[in-house]
Amino acid sequence: MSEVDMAVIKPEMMKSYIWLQTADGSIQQVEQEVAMFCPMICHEVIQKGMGSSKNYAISLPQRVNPAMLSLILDYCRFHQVPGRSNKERKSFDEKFIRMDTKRLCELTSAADSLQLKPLVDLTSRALARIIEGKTPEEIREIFHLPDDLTEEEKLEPLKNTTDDPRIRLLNRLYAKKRKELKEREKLKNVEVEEERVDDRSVDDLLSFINGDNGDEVREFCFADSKGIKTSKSKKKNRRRKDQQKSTSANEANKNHSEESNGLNSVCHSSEVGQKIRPSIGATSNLQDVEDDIFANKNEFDDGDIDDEIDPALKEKLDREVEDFARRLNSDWPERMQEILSLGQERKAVHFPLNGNGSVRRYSRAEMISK
Amino acid sequence: MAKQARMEGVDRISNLPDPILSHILSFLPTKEAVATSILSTRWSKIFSQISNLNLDDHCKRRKSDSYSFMNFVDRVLFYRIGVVDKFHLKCGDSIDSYRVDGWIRYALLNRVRELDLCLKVKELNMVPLGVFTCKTLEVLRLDIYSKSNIVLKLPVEICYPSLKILHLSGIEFSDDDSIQRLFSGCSVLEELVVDRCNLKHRCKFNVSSPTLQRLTIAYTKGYYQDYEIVIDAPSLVYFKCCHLPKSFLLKNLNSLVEACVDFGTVFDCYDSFVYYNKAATDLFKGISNVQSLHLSGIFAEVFLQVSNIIPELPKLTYLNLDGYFFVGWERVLPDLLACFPGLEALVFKVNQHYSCDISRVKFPAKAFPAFLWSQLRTFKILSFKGQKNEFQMVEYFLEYAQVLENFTVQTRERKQDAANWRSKITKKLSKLQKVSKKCKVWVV
Repeated sequence: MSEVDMAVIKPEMMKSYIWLQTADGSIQQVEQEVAMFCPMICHEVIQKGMGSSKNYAISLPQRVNPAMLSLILDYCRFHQVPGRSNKERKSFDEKFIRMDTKRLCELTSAADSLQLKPLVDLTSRALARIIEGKTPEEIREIFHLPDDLTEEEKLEPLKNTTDDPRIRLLNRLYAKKRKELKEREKLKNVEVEEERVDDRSVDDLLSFINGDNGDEVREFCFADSKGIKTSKSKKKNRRRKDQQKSTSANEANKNHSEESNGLNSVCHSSEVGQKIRPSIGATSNLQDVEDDIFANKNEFDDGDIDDEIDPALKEKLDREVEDFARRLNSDWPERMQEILSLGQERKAVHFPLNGNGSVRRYSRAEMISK
Repeated sequence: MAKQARMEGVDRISNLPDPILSHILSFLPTKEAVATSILSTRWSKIFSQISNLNLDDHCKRRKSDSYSFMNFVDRVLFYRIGVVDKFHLKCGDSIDSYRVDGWIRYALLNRVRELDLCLKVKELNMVPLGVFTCKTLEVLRLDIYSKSNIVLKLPVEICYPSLKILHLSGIEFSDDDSIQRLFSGCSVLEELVVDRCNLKHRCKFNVSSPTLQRLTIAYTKGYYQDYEIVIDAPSLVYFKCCHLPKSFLLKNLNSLVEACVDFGTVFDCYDSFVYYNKAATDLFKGISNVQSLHLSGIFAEVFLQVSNIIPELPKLTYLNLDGYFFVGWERVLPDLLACFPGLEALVFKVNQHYSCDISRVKFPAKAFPAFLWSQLRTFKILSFKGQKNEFQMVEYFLEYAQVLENFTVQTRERKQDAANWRSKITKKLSKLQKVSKKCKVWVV
């Protein structure tokens, strides 16, 4: 006998109801097949035998208020019908989810407490779509989030509240890194004089260099004799740095209106020890120092990084290192100020982690002498 | 002003429990998810719990951008806690391969369930061998884009106790043995897609799996297509094959419901016809239980002898035909449809003719099989251009199909005046005589 037949014969017997009670005390009855679509209600009925009458109404979790319950039941009523096509379900979902953010959040909460995973997924996706592509300010406004992180908290490393051994190790690595940089600074002072000698020979290569992009020049450099290499790279570096400064200035202006770089303006001024800011777009030089500490931390064989960095960059890096070391030595508040103002212009530079600073120095000296 | 409004509103979203917040963030690209860490104190730690990592370098070529990306990923992974559910990585050559290797290892160590790698590289040295022995992996997608062939280096021991879905794209299999090792290591495989892969000369592509339900072998290049496909899959429900190999051996495809075959180009030459003929007959012999069939390809004159290639498929009820017939579909259709005695639904795409003498062919070139008229319920024409022979076909079908219920005409895309043209066709079609009373004509 089909269900339809049965309904004709005994209509009152066909429909059975489940009694539900929301946190505010109101009780209502809902068709069984609709209510049983929710795993939590299903569990209560089957495992505990609740919901069969008004006295034994299933008490729903506090997060489910009557308005949300009615929405959830609408959802269940539609989806529990087996014959619907995927297209139908999808278009129902799209219409269903059109509501203000406030109700979306409440609905997510209610669906979660009833363990109705498909609805949780649906609302979560909708909330994700709202968040996607917005600046932090916009997101805070939409969801009424308190802006309760201080400027320093946004910049400073995560407080070592749980005394995470990884964070302690990191701090130790930073200290080591700082020491190395100080040493490099000393070396830099020695080398500065020698480099100036090569400037003059650059003039005749000006026309060639000015027309090319970085890669081609570099290739040309490698093909040529070593003596010219340094000077060419220097020239190229200077040009590149100027270009970058102007493009980064432009970018900085553009970035202010974009979402991910709304983040940048806050976290741009990173500090040694500051860890978690994602480098979206231009990142500060300081960040990259620690970045390489991370790379090292991950136990990769970083020994060949140095080989990959062409000599052209090394020149530029040394200059950056000098700045960095100087900044490290100044006081914290002053440093903060400086960083905040300089932060916009910095371009990301890969600072190779070379444990053996002396090797580098040797090879540079060798190049210069040739 | 904004601050005031913010103070007045209630922060409801932060009341959601941590798992829900990280679930919401898992739908965002990882970059944006991490950016939420500065929203408020409540949000500052949520990102570290997200289990979906969606990393994309957006094809940035500049060294500085690559470094930014690499450093970003390092930091995200470093600060994460918990298992990795989905790890999706898309990057190119500008990303250091040893770092990519490390990231993948991180995912493997953290019990990754779904690994999706889309790599545009010159050589494949960033996929650790651990990928092929990962116990928790359920979905693996390896999508390689490269100018030269990249050989997939497989370890001797391949063990995939949980792998259900495997997609391989753009790689080369070094030998039969490695193919064998790979597929025999997947004991619960349900879906396999092999796409744009290279098979060496005289290679045997052997897939034998009791659990496999969906199989796609597409655009696989063999050396002069001189390779063999052997499939033994009793649970197979869906089979798709683009471009036929030299020989097919399909065993035990008892559960097969749907098959899609793209013949590619069947050249008008006796030698290739013979070879194609054999592969095609083997294929159709293997899928003889199929209920739904999609056929596509460029068919030369030899296809006139359709019965040589396609045998009778008794259980077939749905046919989707998208072919370019050198001799015109008017001449091929009657013979083709005669192979499907159970046919109830036909979807036919009208494609451009290659032959010149088509105008002289009057529809129908020969009689359609009689069983068709008492069985055909659904008929859909795609890319309808309104030409004379197309109208002749429509007229013919409407006149003879006694149980036709749904007749749909999808007009070819027109830039100008589309609605007008459609209504013209609708008018013309509605004037035609319909033998079936229940028949509804739709023009879309």
